This record gives sequence, structure tokens and C-alpha cells, in this order.
Amino acid sequence: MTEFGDVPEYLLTVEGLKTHFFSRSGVVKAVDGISYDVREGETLAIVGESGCGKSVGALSIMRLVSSPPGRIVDGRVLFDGADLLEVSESQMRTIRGNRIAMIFQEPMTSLNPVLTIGKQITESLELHLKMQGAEAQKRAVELLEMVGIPDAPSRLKQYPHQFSGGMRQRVMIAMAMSCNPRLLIADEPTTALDVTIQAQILELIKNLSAQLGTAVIIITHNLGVVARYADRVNVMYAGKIIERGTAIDIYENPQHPYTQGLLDSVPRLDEDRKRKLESIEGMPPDLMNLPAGCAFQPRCKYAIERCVEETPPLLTVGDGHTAACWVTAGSTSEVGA
Amino acid sequence: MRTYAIQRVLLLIPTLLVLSFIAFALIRFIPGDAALLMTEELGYAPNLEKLQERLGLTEPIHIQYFKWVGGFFRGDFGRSLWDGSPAADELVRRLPVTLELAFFSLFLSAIVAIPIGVFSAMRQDTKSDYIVRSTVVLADAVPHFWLATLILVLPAVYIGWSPPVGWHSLSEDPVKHLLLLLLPASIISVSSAASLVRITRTMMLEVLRQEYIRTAWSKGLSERSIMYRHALKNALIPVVTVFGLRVPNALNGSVVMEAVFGIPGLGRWTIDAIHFRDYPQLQVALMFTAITVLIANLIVDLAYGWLDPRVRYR
Ligand SMILES: Nc1ncnc2c1ncn2[C@@H]1O[C@H](COP(=O)(O)OP(=O)(O)O)[C@@H](O)[C@H]1O
Ligand SMILES: [Mg+2]
Repeated sequence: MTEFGDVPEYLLTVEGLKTHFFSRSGVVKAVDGISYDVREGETLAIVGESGCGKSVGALSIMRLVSSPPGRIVDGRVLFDGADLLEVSESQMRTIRGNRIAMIFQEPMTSLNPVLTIGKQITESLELHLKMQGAEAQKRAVELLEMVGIPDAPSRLKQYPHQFSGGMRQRVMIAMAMSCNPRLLIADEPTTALDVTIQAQILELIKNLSAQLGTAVIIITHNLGVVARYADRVNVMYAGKIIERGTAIDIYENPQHPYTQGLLDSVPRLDEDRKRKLESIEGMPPDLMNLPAGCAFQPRCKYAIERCVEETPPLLTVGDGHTAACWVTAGSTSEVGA
Repeated sequence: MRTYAIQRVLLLIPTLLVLSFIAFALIRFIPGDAALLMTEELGYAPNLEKLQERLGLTEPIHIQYFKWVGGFFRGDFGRSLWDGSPAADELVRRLPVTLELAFFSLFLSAIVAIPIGVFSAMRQDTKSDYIVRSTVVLADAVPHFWLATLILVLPAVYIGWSPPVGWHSLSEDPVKHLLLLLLPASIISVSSAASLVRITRTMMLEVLRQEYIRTAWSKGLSERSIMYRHALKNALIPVVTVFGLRVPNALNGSVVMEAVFGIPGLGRWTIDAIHFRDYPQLQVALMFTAITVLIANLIVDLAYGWLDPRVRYR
């Protein structure tokens, strides 16, 4: 993390990214104009309820949104001086798995069932690092050991079904880290795992990123994860970022009613255990027919007339802390970045 | 997997017994026997009962069956009722010809159909995909014999030339041998190729939706390695099943093409055996055709293990 006053080094800058899905019944605005940046080595969390566009936003960075029906309709993704939305497909392939790597939610189905773990790890090494034979094999063993898989040489010859869920996610992490990426995108890496294993996997990601200096975007709908592992947080709702700040800002001083609602729905370590957990009332909006004004307004107990008339932009509420709400952030602040 | 393979092989024995019963019974449902044909229709011998007794047709039916099966499993395949020649002699000459034609056609259909199926799935809902799919529907509807007649007759009518037919043995002239086989094999392969394109395309589309394919993309692999290394091997399992199911069809097609192209395989010989009620000859032809299908199915089952580690380690 950069100290206050330093010029932040942006590894990734996303500007006005819009990814829509076009179907016969209409346009789903899965990601609708999000802007954020990721600094070298930091961990950024993206949180929000299921279906708010977190995965689509991440896949857009890698240009892996299935098309048709999906299309990135607008925006820029600046990585290392280039706009990833403009580079050629073959240039993009030299970035995927090499400079930006990704791990997914379902370790059970994210590995190819008919290829050995060794093959799946070494193919990245062969492709990007031009390693061959024994050298790639040796590196694959190191990688498995690095992610805490015992008995690595013989494990390399095995297939995914011979691994437990947690072990498979470790394999995914080994694969993702194999070419020493600058950025790791982890899309709900622990959602499908047992609670006890979740913590181990998150610790592993955290330690590796610290050790190797890898920046991490961790996508989750679990705010507990955020508090512990993230430096900064983007809260998403209906395809937009509605609040952004440091993990401490978001956890201790949430400004958007939606963020507050999310926090009320998870148990907190620093509070009375008997507090009743409240989930946010109502349903997430239909991305094909968004309500007028603020997308959260129909579910919001503070909503005023202006919320229906005008969509709130991200408004500055503190140093590096912005929220898109007329009520809680609108009174005192100006339009933020 | 090894115990599975052994079990599968052992299972062949009861299957063969059932088959032997069917092969034996089937031909006896056709009215008349060889002795009857010899005496009444061809005036070949004067005394029906005596002849039937000589040919062993008067013995109780179960005794006839056990004698034949006993002989069969000892490697004695019986003798032709008409000329007394060992049925095995002729079989050994003809079976390889039919098998070669059938498997050559299956091989052709696989090497053509699988890449087309993959291509069609990769280009789903584009013009090329539509062309492939319409061709498949057409190819599926065309009968072998009609296609064969068309190919032989049309050029003869319009340009006064027709493709060569006949047979050259492999040892005599390998090139000519293969060239002569190519046309009938291609004709037989058409309908199998159609099924294989369809199943390959369907399975590829299914596999391409899987999350491990997205993982493969996220690693920066090329479309080619994703299609052939990551997707096809998963899609191939049902393709192999269909391939196995096409074996009887290919044998069937061979029998027809042998007649059209004058190829000395099992086809003509089997039809003659039915015609002349030559029980031992027909039984041995049926048994070996059935054994071919059984072995092909066995290979398909074992191929699952090769393709799918989840089966291999069961
Ligand atoms: N392939 C697709 N076709 C159509 N709509 C899609 C597709 N993928 C995602 N979406 C839509 O985009 C929205 C955001 O999805 P996603 O990013 O996966 O949400 P999450 O925040 O849970 O990761 C969802 O409402 C979903 O309906
Ligand atoms: Mg998701």
C-alpha cells in the first residue's frame, strides 16, 4: 500500500466500463459504467449481492465475456500502459494467465476432468515462460509445494477428481500464480468451500500476494472476508459501483444505505453476538428494467424524491471514500472521482 | 479398471452362448431345409428322408444344437451341407474382406466427421454451421445402395465412364487394393459420418459451456488448443459410444456394397447360405459377424477408461 502523499502507482485502471448482454427480450446492463483502479500489490475487494455484475466486470478485464450475447460496449481497461479493450486477441492471450491470472468460484468444475493436474499447470509454463519437459515439471512441483499440497511429484500425475474441493482450489491458485502474474482476479474463490477451508484458502492467497507482490482483486459477497483481507473495497449494486473506500471506511463508516444493509446482514466480531441479523428487504432489481433514478431507491428506507428523479453519482464523503447516495452523502459533499 | 476389463471379457462367454442359440434358431424358422431343396427343387437326390438323415437334420433339435456349439467352441465350425467343405475355410478368406471394408469406412467417417463437428460447434449459428447441419440431415437420409447406384450410373450415362469396381488383393497390389476400396468405403461412411458430426457438434457445444473451458481461456491458450486439447477429449466420450453403435451399420453397409462393387466378402456368401438353407455356413457367418460387433463394443467400453480418468480409477 502506498503511504499518504505518495503518487499512487496504478497497475490497472478501469474507466467507464460497460458490459451489456443483448437478448431478444432486451438488454441486460450487467456492468453499467464502472471506474476504479488497482494499485501495485494491493488487495481490492469487490462486494455486492449475487447478480450485481461482479463476475461480468472481472471477466470483461480479461475479455472473456461470452459473446454473443455479451458485449463490452464502452470503457477503457488500462493495464501496464495499454488499453486491454483495444489490443489484439493474440496480444491479449499473452496477458491472460501470464500477467493477469484468474481463479473461479467452483473448484469442482474449473479444472479439466480429463487432463492431469501436472498437464494443466505445465501448459501455462510452456506457453508463457517457454519452459519445457523437466524444467516445467520441476517448476510445477515447486508451485504445488508453494500452495501447500503435500507429495507434489506424485500429485502431478493425478486428475482433478482425486482432489478435495479445497485441494482443487489450491491447484487453481498454483496454476494462476505459475507465471508470476502482476494481478490475480479471484472470483468468489471460497464460496463453494467449507467454512474451515475458506479461511485457509484466503490466507494462502493473502500470503502469496504479499510474498510475490501480486495485486489481488477479490470478488465476494461476504463482507467478513473484506474486513480481514482487503485494503480497499468497491461495493457494487445493479451494475454500478455505489460506494468505494478503504476497508476501514466501509466497515466502520458505511455511507450508502445498501452498504449499511449488507453489513447488518453479516455477523460482526466487534459486536454483541445476540444482535439480530437483518437482511435487506426486497429483491435486487431486474437489470433489464432498472428503476428510475437510484437503482437501490425502491428498497431504500431513506429514499427521497430526488432519488427517483436523478441517479446519484459517486460523491466524496471522506478522503478516498465515495458513495452514490443523495441522502447520506449528498448533503455535505461534492461530486467525487 | 483391470478388473473391469476382465469382467467385460468374461461377460463375452454367456453373450456368445445366447448368440449361438439365436444364430442356430433363426435360420430354422425359414420353411424348408437343404435336403428338401436338393430333392424337390433341384432333383439332386431321390430320397428325402435318407438325405435328411445323412445331413444330420433328423436328429433331435437340441442334440443338433449341442453338437454344433460343442464343435464351435472347440474350433470346429462345421461343413457346408452342399459341398461338404469346411465352413471355416471360406470364412477365413471372406471375413477379413468385409471387416476391412467396414472398418475402413468407419475410419474414414471418423477422420472426416470429428473435425467437421468441432468446426461446426466453434462456429455455432454462423453460415458454415448451417451448411454443415443441412448437409448432415441430407447425408443421413440417403440410403447406401441409392448413393452407390447414382455414383456408378450417372457418370456412365453422362460421360461414358464409370468408377472402377472389383477387387484386388492387398498383397498383389496395395495401391489398387485401397483405391478400389475407397469408393465403397466412402459410400458406407456417409451415414456414420452424419451421426458422428451431429454428436461431436452437440457434445462440443455442451463442453464449451463448462467452466474448465473458461479456465482454459483465462490461461491464454489459443482457440486451437482449447478446442482440441481441452474440449474435444471431454466431448469424445459420447462420440466413441456412437462410433461403437455404428459398427453393425458399417458391417451391414459392407454386405450391400460387396454386392454392388463385386467384392468377395461375407455378404454374397451369407445370402447364398440363407438361400440354400446351408445351416452351418450361415451360423458361422452370423457368429463371426456378431463376435466382431461384440469385440468392437468391448474396445469402445475400454476406450472410455482411456478417455475418462474417472472411469479408469473406478
Ligand atoms: N451469459 C449471459 N447471458 C445473459 N446474461 C448474463 C450472462 N452472464 C451474466 N449475465 C447477467 O449479468 C448479470 C451479472 O452477472 P454476474 O456478473 O455473474 O453477477 P455476480 O455479481 O453474481 O457475479 C446477471 O444479472 C446475469 O443475469
Ligand atoms: Mg459471480
